[in-house]
Amino acid sequence: MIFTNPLGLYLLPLILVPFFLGMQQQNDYPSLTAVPQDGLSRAITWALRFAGSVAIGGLILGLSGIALREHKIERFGQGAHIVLLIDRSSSMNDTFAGRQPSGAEESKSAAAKRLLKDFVIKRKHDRFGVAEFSTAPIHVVPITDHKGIVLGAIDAIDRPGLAFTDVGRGLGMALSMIDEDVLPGSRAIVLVSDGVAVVGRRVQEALRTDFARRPVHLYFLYLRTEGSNSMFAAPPPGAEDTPQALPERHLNKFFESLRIPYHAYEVENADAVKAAIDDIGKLEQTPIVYTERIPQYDLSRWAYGVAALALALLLAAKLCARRIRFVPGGAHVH
Amino acid sequence: MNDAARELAYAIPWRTSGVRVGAHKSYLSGSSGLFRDIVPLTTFPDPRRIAIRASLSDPFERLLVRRAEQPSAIDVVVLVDVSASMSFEGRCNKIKMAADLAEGLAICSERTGDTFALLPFDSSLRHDLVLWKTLSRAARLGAIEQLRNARAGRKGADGVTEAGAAIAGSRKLVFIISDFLWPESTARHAAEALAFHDVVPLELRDSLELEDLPRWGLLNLRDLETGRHRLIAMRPSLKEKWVTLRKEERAHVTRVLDQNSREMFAICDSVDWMRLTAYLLYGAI
Repeated sequence: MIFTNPLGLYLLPLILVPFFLGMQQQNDYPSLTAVPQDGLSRAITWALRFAGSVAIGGLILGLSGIALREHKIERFGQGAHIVLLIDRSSSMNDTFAGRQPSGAEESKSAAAKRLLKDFVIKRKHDRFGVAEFSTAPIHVVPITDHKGIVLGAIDAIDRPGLAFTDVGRGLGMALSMIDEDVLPGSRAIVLVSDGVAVVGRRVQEALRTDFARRPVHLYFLYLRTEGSNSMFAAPPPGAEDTPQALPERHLNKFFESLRIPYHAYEVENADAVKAAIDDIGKLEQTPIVYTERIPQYDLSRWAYGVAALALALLLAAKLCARRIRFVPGGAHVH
Repeated sequence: MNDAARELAYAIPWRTSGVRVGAHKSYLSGSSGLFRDIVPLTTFPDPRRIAIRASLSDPFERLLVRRAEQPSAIDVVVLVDVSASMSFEGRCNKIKMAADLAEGLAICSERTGDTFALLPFDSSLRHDLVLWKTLSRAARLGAIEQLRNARAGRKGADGVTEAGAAIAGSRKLVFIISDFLWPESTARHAAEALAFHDVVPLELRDSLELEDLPRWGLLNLRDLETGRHRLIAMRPSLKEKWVTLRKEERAHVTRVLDQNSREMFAICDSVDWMRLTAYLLYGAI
């Protein structure tokens, strides 16, 4: 409970006034000893005093700007803490057909942006972090429940991309973001990429130990450009099967060898992206604890409302009040 | 002050022992007026009133004389309650009405040659308003005028005993003008203090006090005596109860006063002087 204008509270002792001073117009009367004791009268007396007190108190609290303080509530929900690890290489600005977008066509990054934003909005209880990578990883948003920031970060992923793709260090950054997140809950990394380079052996070893240290779900959303290598297809016999020739296939194999919950989606158009994201949404339904921020709530309108009700009661009493009065030359007012 | 008030008259159903010649029955005998009895000339040596026939037929051959009634003057005392409750103003102003009554009685007492005393009281005797026994016309009117403009403020009516002590002595005609909203103890003390006198209680009432109160609505009343407030939700059943309670309270006071005084005469809103005169002369209303 806070007051935006606490000086008004100095007036608060005024609520005692109705208990000491009469509020109705008084009639002098010779003697009240013969007046019968009456429960209803006494009840009305106290009700009116109370109403007067409430009216004054309500107005004073309203003037003082009574409000509920902003606070946080811990809630249980279903969801996860998800790091979106997004490829910012220049190829993401192309369409799924590998061309510059024109007219009605949508670039891969625009599709990813649209669908990821939907995903973020739909997942009410999840916390998101955003990291990007190209030649070097970029820390964008730590894991947070401020959806606005996350949406802003996702909005920016269709800006013209940078040069290359270093997925290994990107994953390292995503993992470090997960390390910084202290709240309990299941963790996931959604890797959105349209083609990767080789992950060096040393980096691979580092990632292997990192992944082994903590339980993380990994989702690999491979936005496959038409004509590029498939992640799952084994190369035809005789073809070269090296990480240099088929980096996606070998990355997939590397992820599979990590012994963590891992799903790979190879998508070739926006609808497939959507299906994959929906699938991720379905999979990430573990119970989590999250905090909900309740903003400051202005109670003064309620205070004024209560005061108005009390004043209405007093007004009704005023209208019911009678006077003992003799009007010369006519009947006195009943 | 209307003319009817000047016609006010009173009579006493007892003989006064006053020795000053006046207009009321007394134990004194005189030479003229109403025949009273025949006594020997030695008892009442007034040879002008010799009863010849009675003397001739007297077996003891005494000389007898006729004796007549000798009316005497009495002392009239008006006790006026000026306690706070008397300042209630509805259809009438009780203090002014009390002053009117006192003036009527003052004029009447002047006419019959009686002395007049005015003793306003609240919780004690109001010495600033008191008029001690007097025959002076100017003093009476002055005191009554003072009473008419007096402010009733203090609570309680216990000064009636003090007033009773102040007028102790020979039997007097004592009027008590009050609203008689007294506790029973005050009434008892008043009755004891005035037991020797001929007490005439005149009750002043206002119809707005009770009978003409609204039947419905909220009334915020302030007790003039105690200053306390009460909010009363008026409704017919409550009013009925109120009237009953008030009647009971009044009955208590009148029962105590009735033991030593004449029947209480109630004056509501305005004085009916003819009725008051009839009551004072014949004891009937």
